Amino acid sequence: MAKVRRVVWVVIMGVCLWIAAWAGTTDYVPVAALRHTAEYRLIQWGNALWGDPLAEHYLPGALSGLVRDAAGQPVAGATVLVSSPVGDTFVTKSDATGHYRLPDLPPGFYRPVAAHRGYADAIYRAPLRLNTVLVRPGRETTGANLTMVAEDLTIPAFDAVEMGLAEEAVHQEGDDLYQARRRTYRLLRSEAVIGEGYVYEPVTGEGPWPTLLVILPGPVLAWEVVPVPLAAQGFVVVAVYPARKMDIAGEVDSMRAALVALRAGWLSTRADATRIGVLGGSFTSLHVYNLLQREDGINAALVLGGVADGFRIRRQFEDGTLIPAHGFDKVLIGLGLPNRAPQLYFRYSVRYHLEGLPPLCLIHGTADGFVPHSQSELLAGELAARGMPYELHLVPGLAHYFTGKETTLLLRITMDFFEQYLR
Amino acid sequence: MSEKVQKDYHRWLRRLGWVILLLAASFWTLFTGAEMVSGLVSGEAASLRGGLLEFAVFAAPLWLGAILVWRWPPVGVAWLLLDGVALVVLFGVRALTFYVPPAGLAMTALTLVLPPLAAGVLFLVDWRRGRIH
Repeated sequence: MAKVRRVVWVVIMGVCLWIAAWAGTTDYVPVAALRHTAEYRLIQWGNALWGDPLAEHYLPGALSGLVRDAAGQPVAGATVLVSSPVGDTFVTKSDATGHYRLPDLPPGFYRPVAAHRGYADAIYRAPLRLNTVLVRPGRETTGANLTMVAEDLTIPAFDAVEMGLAEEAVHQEGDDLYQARRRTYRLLRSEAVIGEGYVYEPVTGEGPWPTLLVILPGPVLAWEVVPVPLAAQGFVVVAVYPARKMDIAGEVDSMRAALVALRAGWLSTRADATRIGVLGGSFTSLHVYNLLQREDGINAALVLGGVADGFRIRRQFEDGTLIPAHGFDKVLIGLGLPNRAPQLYFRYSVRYHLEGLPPLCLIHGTADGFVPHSQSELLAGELAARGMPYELHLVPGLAHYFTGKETTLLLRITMDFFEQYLR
Repeated sequence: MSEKVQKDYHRWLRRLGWVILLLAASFWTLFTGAEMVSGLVSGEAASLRGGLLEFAVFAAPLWLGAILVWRWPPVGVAWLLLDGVALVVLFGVRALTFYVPPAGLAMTALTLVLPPLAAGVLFLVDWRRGRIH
């Protein structure tokens, strides 16, 4: 009996250890978010007891490794990044042999990540080392290798497009009255909805008109201030609201399915699907940039108050110069420390995924207290350094959420930009 | 093993446990007390606060563990082991996130993490054998 009891205890302990090991290393978001939040609190308490560890100064070290594809061939020109625990980034490119080296790194634990167009982001994996590499003072850590696999660009299949009846949509802006024709659309697979939104068309004329995919931060009918004036100016507007807030990739795939339907002429017979622009802002800037990385054939994009570098946001949060509103600080903490869990910061930082971007128009209010305008300035700086086409409009006094009086100015900038690239 | 040898063995386990526990508790009381006194003398509120916090986290649990082991050995053993595990987690997360020099790791392990764990294990062995035989 005692022997059986002992075996049962060993099994129970084994299962508990296995669960603890899994919970301590998994990237499964709900578990990882809880773990990251607990880690953050423990580190805060530790800092209160032992002081800020980053205040200590040590000789810098270095980190190197290889970036290869799934077949073991070197990947040249990949952007490789590591971050400090507070979001300071160190970036380099892999050379023709796939080798990369990051010199002058503060000693500490890092998890390297890499990006290259056509590949899914790569992240360092070594579960027995808790997926991190240790850089020691004055020494080079080698062998931090990354494997890149081709990005899965499969578009969700649908077997039917259901269009609603045409209605009149009207928006009044000062003395201007904008009118458009509005229809709902739904993409169905085995009668399940895999994507939905609204299509706005000009009331008069036959087209074909260039198309704008507008990704709104709230329900479409509450945000008609955007699609109706654009449609009235001679665009077919496909307006969507990504309601599954955190599943950005899933939402983007739904939008890609909508573009397939658009190109096939199912959403509008009067849309010119060879001239497509995308527009988003704030949180949906993440969708816009992700879409641009996954979709060819988009001619221009406009982003209002967008996020360009998640690591910089984390840095500002850590040094107290940015206090995220609406509980976003909890989201940031849940994302994890950027040195050990950089993947989501990296994935949604367009600053490190610039290859293949179309002309960009960046609009940012200088009074934006939610997403600092330095985000757009950073991105503009990177685009300028690479000679990529962009416009940067810093609007004095504009906060994160624009009001009626600013709408006219924003509409004018938007129209001028898309006229330039889509007409 | 004769009864006498067993008794001696138990006595030494207990004594070693008490020495480790009281040494560590005294060390941290002295250390944090000095910091608090320094804060009081210099008028630096941060130093006083830091000393109080360190006393509450490093020294007080050891004194409480000593009282518990003296009055209710199983509760005291559980308390000391939990204290040790909590300190392992608290310092472990830090040591796996930031660079901590080997000397710092060793010092923290020796002075902070090991004493409650070692004393807890010694008292546990003593208590279990004493209960069984």
